[in-house]
Amino acid sequence: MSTPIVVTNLWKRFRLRHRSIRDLAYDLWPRNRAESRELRRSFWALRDVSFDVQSGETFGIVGANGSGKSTILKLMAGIMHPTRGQMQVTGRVALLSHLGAGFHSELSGVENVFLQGAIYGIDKHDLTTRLEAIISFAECEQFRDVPVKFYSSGMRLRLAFAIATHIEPEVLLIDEALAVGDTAFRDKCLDRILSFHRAGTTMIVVSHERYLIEQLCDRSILLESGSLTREGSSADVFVTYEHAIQTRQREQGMIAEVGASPNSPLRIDGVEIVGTAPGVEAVIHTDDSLRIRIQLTAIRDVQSAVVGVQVAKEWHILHGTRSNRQGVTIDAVANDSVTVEIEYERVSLSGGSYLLHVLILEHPLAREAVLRFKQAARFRIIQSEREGVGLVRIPHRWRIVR
Amino acid sequence: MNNTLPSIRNLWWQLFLRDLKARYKQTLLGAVWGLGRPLLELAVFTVVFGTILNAPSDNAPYPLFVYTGIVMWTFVAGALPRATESLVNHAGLVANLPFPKGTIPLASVGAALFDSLIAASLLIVAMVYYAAPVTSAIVWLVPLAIVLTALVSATSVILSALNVFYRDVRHLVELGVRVLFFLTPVVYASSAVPARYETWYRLNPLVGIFEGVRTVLIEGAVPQLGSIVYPTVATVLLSIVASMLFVRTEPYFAESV
Repeated sequence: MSTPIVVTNLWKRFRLRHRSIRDLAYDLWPRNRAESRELRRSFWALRDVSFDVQSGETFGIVGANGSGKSTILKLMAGIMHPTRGQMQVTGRVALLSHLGAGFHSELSGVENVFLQGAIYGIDKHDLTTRLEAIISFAECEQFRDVPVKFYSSGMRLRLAFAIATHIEPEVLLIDEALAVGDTAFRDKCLDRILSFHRAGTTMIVVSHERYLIEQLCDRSILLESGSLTREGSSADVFVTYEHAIQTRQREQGMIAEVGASPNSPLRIDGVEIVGTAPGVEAVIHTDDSLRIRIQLTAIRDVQSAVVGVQVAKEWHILHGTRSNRQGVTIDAVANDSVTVEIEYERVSLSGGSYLLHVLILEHPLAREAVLRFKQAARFRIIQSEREGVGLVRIPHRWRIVR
Repeated sequence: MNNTLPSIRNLWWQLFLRDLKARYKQTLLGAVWGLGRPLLELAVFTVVFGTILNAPSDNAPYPLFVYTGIVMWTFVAGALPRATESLVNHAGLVANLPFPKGTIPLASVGAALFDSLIAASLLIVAMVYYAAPVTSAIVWLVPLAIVLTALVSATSVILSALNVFYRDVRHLVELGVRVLFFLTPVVYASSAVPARYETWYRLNPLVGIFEGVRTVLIEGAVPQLGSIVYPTVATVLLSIVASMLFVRTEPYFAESV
């Protein structure tokens, strides 16, 4: 198997200032060292990154904003050059990023197709044979001879995507390209990308969407501040990535490390999935029951406080409930300990990892929680394939009726 | 990947067309503007420099003399500023797509050459009107045009690359072109330059080229070899500098533009 992409000890530095004739003067006669150093302020976008991608492989790059993902793609596409290190990319590369950036607004759709085609190095004859396919994929038949400046932003995107994917790339670099456009267009793009996947085109996908990365990518890497910190199966890399995000959110105080807040009458001392050691991800089968024990201490006297629990997958709240809806409220005097339990009789979710958030509300009528203890516990559901896939488990039976 | 010669030529052609189309689209008169400008300049220069200031034209009819200058100057003054800004103006392309970037300033040079050729069509009319002698010396126009085009191209490539990093270049070029107008024999004959300044004056490689073209078109004579050797040598040297500079700086365009 060939290896179309080989990245070895890649470093990339950016200057943080625009240069002027003044900088040139300092370059030539460094009179004032401090000022000269200020002019040279720079920042390493990539630090010693190495990996390789096999032919036909779909490879994911995961990381927070500013971690160097787009820089890697630009280096691979040959738009930028590495400061240090080696990078070898063989075959025709198409980069799906900033779609439509190269369009000239005064030129018509067709004229722009020829211009972009020339930039990708496709000769005019080849392009003529692909023109109809491009125009029809972009759904802009009626506007083919209209200047691009009159296109809607969706049409621009469609046309740019159509061009980039009709040049028969051997290496396709996708930079959040699917995060744009309406759902119909997204589906169409995803279809086309999946067809490249099946046809064995080597692809690199940069995305924050776990679903996309896990569906498409065989392997992934995690970038943190320009360094490669994890390489492995997409699922593992994403777990590390989410863990890193949580750690950072905790450090920034976005997630309560402990279940306490100055406004809250109750402190959450512990959230435990009964039958599992604290801090360990509980593993249950779909349709099992799940018991969660929440230990609280009253900070001050409180009457009819409410506890809420949410079950979440990534950013989506799948289920939420408040104790007062079933008539349970908490009355306590300061320093009282209270233990609340919630039992889910059957957790009809499909396989995957889930989070539990615990909330405290001052009063049954309160709109906002005074304390949100996010990701207080987590559990994983395992299920057999006969139960189907998706977010929830819907009990079902197949049979032939005739 | 797309660095084969035919694909570079195709890319240059597309960029050139884009430059022209973008400029003449949505104008009522279209390419007629390409004639309007040199004609207006002809009228103004003839009145101001020819009649009022009585500029020397080596005994040639002043309108014919100045129009040959205008045709060449249209190219020089059209190409340099536009090419200087070309890479920055195409930032969207430069920052997001991989392709040989040298095609961008060269396409601007091409568009300026196109304007100049439109203006040159009237030159034929002027030559017939003033009964300028057409002899076999006319073949000398080919090497002269090649040297002029190469000279302007090399300078444009250098300036466009520098402008990506130092935006001051744009202002310098704007100013420089104005100064160059007076330091080049566009509206007067170079024979009027005092002998003690001549060596300095001739450092400008455009001088020899302008003289040569006029000798061919107005006198129908072969240009003095001495006056075109220096421009040719200067062009070759500048072209070497241009390609070296461009190859070294091109990798950094995307992050600096």
